[in-house]
Amino acid sequence: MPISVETNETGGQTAIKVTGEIDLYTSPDLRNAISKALGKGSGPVSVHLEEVSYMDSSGVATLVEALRSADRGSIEFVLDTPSKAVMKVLQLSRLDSVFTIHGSPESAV
Amino acid sequence: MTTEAYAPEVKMRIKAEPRLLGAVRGAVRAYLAGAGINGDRLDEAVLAVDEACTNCIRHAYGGNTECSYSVELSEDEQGIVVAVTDDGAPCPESKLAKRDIEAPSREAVTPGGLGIQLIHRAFDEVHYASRGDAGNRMEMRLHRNPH
Repeated sequence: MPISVETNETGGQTAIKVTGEIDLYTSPDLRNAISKALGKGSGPVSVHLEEVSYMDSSGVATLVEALRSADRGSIEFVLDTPSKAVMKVLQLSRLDSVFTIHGSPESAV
Repeated sequence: MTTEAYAPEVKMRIKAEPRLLGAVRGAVRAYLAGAGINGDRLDEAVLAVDEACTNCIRHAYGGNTECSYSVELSEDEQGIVVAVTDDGAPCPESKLAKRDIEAPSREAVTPGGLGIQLIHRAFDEVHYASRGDAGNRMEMRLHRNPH
């Protein structure tokens, strides 16, 4: 498996940790995990992206869909510590200011 | 632009299977790195080729994994040429135009349409040739001395 997606719930918050590469093949795994988390109710959802070594536009599209769906349900949706690879694609896509981003890894300097 | 007249150094024929995209990226990265491309330029070019392949799988073949597309890698006097060819549905020209990527407002943000802009961004030249009912060919060039 080139990707692992782990979901942890604590105190009404859902944290989804992604490790590996996000592309056309793996983005459905992320999409499923996020829609499950958003479908649960109103608790905040964060996607931890520090261990993501590659992301393409299907990953960007997945995160954009998630943001829109979260906004519709008034759910807080956060990208947590995006890796350099993730930040790069969000910046190229001019979407880095659209998302709420918490933390940045040392390597993103 | 010649479309078929040259013999590429590398030609891969790949099943239109999303699972194989990682292998294609690895091969493209190794070739481009060997040709002296590095840093952000390398990362962006690998991403762009991945986007072109993703377009073949999703749009030209509509997810039919029995189909195949090809990726060709070559060098000439001017630089590096990457060509991605499929036998699928022709791509509407309107979807291929280069445009500025604008920062959308949070309300207006939509998924999709981004891949082609990432291709234009990474490569110095992008040529698209419709092969009519025979499919699509996208030729992407990296100049040896970018300005």
